[in-house]
Amino acid sequence: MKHFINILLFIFCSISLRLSLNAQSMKSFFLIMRNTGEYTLWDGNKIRTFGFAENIVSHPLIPGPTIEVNEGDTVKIGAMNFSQGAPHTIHLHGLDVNQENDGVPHLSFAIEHMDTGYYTFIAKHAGNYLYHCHVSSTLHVQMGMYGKIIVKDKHNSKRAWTNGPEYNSEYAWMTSEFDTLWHSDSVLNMDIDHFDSTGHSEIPIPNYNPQYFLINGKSQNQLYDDDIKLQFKANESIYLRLFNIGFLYNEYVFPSILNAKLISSDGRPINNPEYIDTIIAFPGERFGVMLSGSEEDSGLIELRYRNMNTDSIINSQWIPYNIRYFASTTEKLIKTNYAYPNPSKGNININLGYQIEKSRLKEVFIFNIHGQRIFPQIHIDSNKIVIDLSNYKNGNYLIVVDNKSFISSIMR
Amino acid sequence: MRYLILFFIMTYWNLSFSQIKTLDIYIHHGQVLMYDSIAIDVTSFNNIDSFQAKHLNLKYSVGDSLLISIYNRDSSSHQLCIPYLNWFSDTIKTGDSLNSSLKLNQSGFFVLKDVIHNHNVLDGSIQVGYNNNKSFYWNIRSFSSVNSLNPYRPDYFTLNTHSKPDIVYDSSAVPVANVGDTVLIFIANTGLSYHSLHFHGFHSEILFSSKFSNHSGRLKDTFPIYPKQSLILRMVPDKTGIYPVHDHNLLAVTGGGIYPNGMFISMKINGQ
Repeated sequence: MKHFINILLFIFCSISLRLSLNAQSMKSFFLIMRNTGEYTLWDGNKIRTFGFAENIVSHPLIPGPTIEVNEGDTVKIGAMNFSQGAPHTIHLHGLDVNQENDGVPHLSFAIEHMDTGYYTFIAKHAGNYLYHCHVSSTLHVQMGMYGKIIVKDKHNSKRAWTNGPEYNSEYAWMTSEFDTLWHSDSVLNMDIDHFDSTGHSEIPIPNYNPQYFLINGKSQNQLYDDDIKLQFKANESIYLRLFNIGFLYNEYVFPSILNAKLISSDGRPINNPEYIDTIIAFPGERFGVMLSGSEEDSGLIELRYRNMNTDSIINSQWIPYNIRYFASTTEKLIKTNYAYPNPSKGNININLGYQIEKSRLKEVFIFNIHGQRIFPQIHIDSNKIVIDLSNYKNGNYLIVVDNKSFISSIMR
Repeated sequence: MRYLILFFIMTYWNLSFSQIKTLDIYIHHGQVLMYDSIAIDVTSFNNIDSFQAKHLNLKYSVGDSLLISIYNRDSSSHQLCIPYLNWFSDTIKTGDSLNSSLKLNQSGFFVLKDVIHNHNVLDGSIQVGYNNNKSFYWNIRSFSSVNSLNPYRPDYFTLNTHSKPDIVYDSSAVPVANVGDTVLIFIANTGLSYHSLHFHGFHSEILFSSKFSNHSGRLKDTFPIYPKQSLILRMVPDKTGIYPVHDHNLLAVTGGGIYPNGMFISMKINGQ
C-alpha cells in the first residue's frame, strides 16, 4: 500500500511538473547597443543616433526591435554593448522587475563596451511596456535608445489580456521627438567624457527644441506606411497600443466615428473603461485603446505634441485611417432576393422598392473579393439600380446601399 | 422621542471625533537655495513667524474645523485658497492680517495656493484623513532662475524644495518601508510645469486625484500630475531593493542644466 501511494505521488508530481512547464515558456532576445547609428528622417536629413540594433552590422532601429512575449513567459534579454562609447543598460519600464534587473547603472549593473549583460523577468501582466537605456537617460533616450515591449495574452488569442476584450487586428505607435542639435558630435560625446560608474555622472544638458515629431520613428508622409496608417474593416475592432517615450506630452484626437475606448493603462486593465475622443499620454505612459467603426470612412487622427512647461502645442502630426466596408461578418448581411440575376454575365439589378436620388449614387459601395472598392457604372431605373460589372472579372462582389448588403456573382 | 435620542447620539458622535483647531499662517519673503547654491526669490507661507524655505504641509482629520489667522509680512498683497475645497481667503494687504474658518468634511490631499501670485510662491498642501498610514510627502515644483514666464522655461525641478543629490536627507520624502507595508505617497504639484512621475519596481494605485476623480482605483507605474493638482498613491512593495522614482519628462531630471540633479528620488524597501 505504501509503495502504491508513493507511485501515485510520483505520477502526480510528474504530471504537475509537466503541466507547469507547458504553461510557461522561456523566450530569449538579443540586442546590440550602438552609438554609431545613422538615421534618415522623413525629409532626407540624416542624424547620428544611439540605439538598439538586431545584429552587429545593421544600424540601430528607431524605435529599437519590439520585444513581444506572452503573459506568463519567462523572458531573457541579452544585450551586447558594441558602442565604442559609454556603458549602456536596459531598463524594463513598467515590468516591476527586481533591483538587479532594473537597468539603473549604479543600482544594478552597467554593460561596458564589448561586454554583454542579461536581464530576466516573468511577464506577469499582458499589456504595453517599453525599454530604454538608463545610463545618462536624458541624453541616451533622446539619442534613440528605446523600444516597445508587448506582452500578449497567455493564449495568443487576439485578446487585450487573458480573457480580456477581443480584437481583430492591432497597431502599436511609439511617440518621441528629435532635436537635431542633440545629435551633434559635441553633445553625443559628453556621456563618454562624464560617465562615472558610481552613479554620479553629471552631464550638461542643452536646451530642448525638437524639430522632428515621431511615431515609430516616422513623421509627415511616412505616417501612411502600413505599420502606422489604420486600416480595418467595418464592424471589426482594432487594438491600438500607445507608448510615449518623448519629452513632450501627447494628445490624440480621435474622430467620434472610431468609437475610441480606453481600456488599459500602464499594463493594467482600467476598471472603468471609457469612450473618449481625446487621449492624453504623458512621457513614460502607455495606453491600450480599442477602436471600431460601423461605417465606411476615411480621415485623419490628430496627434498633438505639447510642451510640458507652457502647455503650448509644439507640433501636430496627422495619422490616416481607413475603414473599409467588407463583409467579413456574414451575419451582418441582409440576404435578399432583390439582386438579380445571380449569377450575372454583366448587369446586376437591385430592386430597392423606392427611387434613389441620382446625387446619392456615390453612396453605393461596391467591393471586390479583396475588399477593394470599385467604381462601375450605375444607372437608376425607376425603383431599382443597375450596376454594370461587365468590365470586371468573374467572381463575387459585395454591394452596399442604404445599409443593405448584397452579394452577387459575375460568371460568363 | 426615538428621533430625539438619535439626534443627541449623532451630535455627540460628531463632537467626539471632530475638533476645532487653530491655524496661524505667516507670509514672508526670502530665498530658496537650489542644490548648486543658486538663490531664487520666493514668498512662502508657514506656521511660524519667520521665513522658511519650505512648503507648508498641514495634516488634519475629517470633521476638523479650522480657525485660520493669516499674517502678511510680505511687501505685496496675497490671497490664499484651497480650490478643491472652494475655500478662498479675502485679499490680505501688506502688514495686514485676517481671520477665516474652514470645515474639513472630506478626506483627500489638496493644494493650498496663492491666488494672486502663482509663480514665485512656495505653495503648500493640506492632508485630510489617511492619518494612520506609513506615508511620505512630495511637493514637486519647477523653478525658473531667470524668473521668466514668457515663455516659461524652468531650469530647476525639486521635491520639497530639494533635488538630487540633497533630497536623500529629507526623511519625509524618501520612502523607506518593508515588504508588505502599505505605503501612501502624497504628491502636490505646486509649480507651473506638467510632470510625469515614473516608479521603478512597483505599480501603485491612485487613491485620490484632485483633477480626475474617475482615475481613482487605477494601477499605474507612471503618473501625470498637472500644475496645482494633487494625488494620493498607495503602494504595497513585494520585493526588497532600492528603486528610483523620477520625472519621465527627462528634462526635469536636470537641475541648472545638469543631469541628473533634478526630480529624482529613490525608495528603499527592506525585508520584513
